[in-house]
Amino acid sequence: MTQTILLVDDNKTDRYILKRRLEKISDDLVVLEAENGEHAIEAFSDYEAEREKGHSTKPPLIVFLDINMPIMDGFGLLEALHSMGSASDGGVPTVFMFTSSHRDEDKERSMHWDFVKEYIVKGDLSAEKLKSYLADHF
Amino acid sequence: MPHYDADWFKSALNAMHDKVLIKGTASEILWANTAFLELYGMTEDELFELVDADHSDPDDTLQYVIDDQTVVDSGQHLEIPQEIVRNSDGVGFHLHTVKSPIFEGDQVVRTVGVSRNLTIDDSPKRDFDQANAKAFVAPLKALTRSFPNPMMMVDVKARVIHTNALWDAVFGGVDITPNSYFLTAYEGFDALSQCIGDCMRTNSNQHITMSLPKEGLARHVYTVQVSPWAFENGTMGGATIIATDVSALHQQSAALQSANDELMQYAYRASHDLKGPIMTVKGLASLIIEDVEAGETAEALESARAITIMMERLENNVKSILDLARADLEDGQSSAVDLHAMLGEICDGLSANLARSGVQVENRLHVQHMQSQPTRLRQILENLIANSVRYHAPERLEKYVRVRSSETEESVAIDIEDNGLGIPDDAGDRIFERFTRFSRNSEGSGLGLAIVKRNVDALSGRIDVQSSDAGTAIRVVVPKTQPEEERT
Repeated sequence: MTQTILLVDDNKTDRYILKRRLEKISDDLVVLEAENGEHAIEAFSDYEAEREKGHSTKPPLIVFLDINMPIMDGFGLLEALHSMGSASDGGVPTVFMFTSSHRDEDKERSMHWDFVKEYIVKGDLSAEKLKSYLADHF
Repeated sequence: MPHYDADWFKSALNAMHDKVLIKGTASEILWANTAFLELYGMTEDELFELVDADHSDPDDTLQYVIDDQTVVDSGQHLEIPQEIVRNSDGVGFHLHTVKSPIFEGDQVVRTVGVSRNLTIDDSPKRDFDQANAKAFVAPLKALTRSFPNPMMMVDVKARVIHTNALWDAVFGGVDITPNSYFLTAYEGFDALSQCIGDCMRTNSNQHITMSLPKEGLARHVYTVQVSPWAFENGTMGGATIIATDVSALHQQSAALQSANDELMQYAYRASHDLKGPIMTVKGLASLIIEDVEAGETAEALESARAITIMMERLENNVKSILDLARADLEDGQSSAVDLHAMLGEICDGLSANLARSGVQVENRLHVQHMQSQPTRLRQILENLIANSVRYHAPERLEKYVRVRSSETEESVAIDIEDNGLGIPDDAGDRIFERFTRFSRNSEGSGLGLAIVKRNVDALSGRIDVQSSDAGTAIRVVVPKTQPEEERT
């Protein structure tokens, strides 16, 4: 089954690296990119709109989310996803935090949401780890 | 289960070694326990004559009445750490007394005094107490008048016997009467009252930190030292209360704490922002290895190019962080500044970005020479122009940054105006915070405007920002003569 994954990060190189890593794990996935929280919300709304038109597209079920972004940061998007999730029938996607912040308070604040499955520090991500994180989804 | 009647309670009070005396609200004696009666060697009936007995000192009697009235009026305990009471034979006893109100509802209807013998030698003669006390205290009072701190003296009953002018100015003055108990004269100073009680009860130095407004201005912080004082013969006379204004120390300590917190936060954010590009580069490098091994050289080349860009960004971040510190280190020296030359150097530094973005820097500097701190001024202009270039509007055909200067008698104004993306309306003053970025274009370090603001402040200047989607106009005004920097 084709999976749709959304990468939310203002650093396009980080998105590129992660995308390459993901494509190594599975060749049956669609990777979407957004450069901040606001763009990510647009990506979700686009899917809602498509579905209303009768198209059977699936919204992204997996999100890799950076914290530090201009316009709307990672925490802003988590809150938005939470309220969008309870309003739509699609449910809340699974979120993997993907950030360069080692800060405990950032981690605690992220893991407070039950749909956040992992807190990944960018430099620590190996191909094996990524594979194990996504094992439930492929 | 015994029946708790009056006799039951009396038997308990009579069994006590402490002297218990119950009085009415007009200080009339209502009842006393056996220990009290034994002190005076009299029966319960004889006791009622006590107040007007021949041997009783009228001053003492008056004092008892005043003490009782204080308890009735305040509804609070009155502690007398040490007093001398004489029995019918003229033998003096040192007593520690606590007088407490007895309430019915919220009305004080009686008082109960409990006294315990203190084991103190009563060798001094009675004459000492009254006349000598006054003679002894007089020079102490004189001494406090010129004392450089607010100072007060109280007697063993915590009655105010003296304050100096500084005390009155800070804590408020009171009329000094036999009735001026600290507790009632200084309402709201409960903690200090407690501290005075502790001092005399334990015969030891106590201190307390208080904050209170001074002359209607900012709150001042005082350390108040409470120490016992004694007569020549060792009898406790009361306590001295000396206040020291420690506001400056407190402010310094608070400022230091906040500077320290800021530094911690700054160090955290700086290391975080430096780490980001390093992690990205690490990821790219491992991709390059994989690509080269797989023979995908085109991909590897792409990643290597990305590394170069990341490294440039890292270099910029490091430069910004160093700039922020450097201007402070080179602080203070004003010299002649040639704005034309400075602008030329800045444009040279930005030449690659100018070429890539197509932004034109227009030199419209009418004022060319001024006195200022060159490092700070340069950082201000460099960051503002770099921002204008970085946040240019790509769709516009003509992209410009106009740099103008004008002067009045007191100041020079430099205007930097662009037709770029503009700053979001809701950004407000947060644009000057460090590590705050408002643009989708994330190349900046988030330090630029923080550096600008810091330098403008250091030059005693001001900065105004006008922005819309047509562009941004920033005016920096700096005085021609720098005020003398305060150095401590």
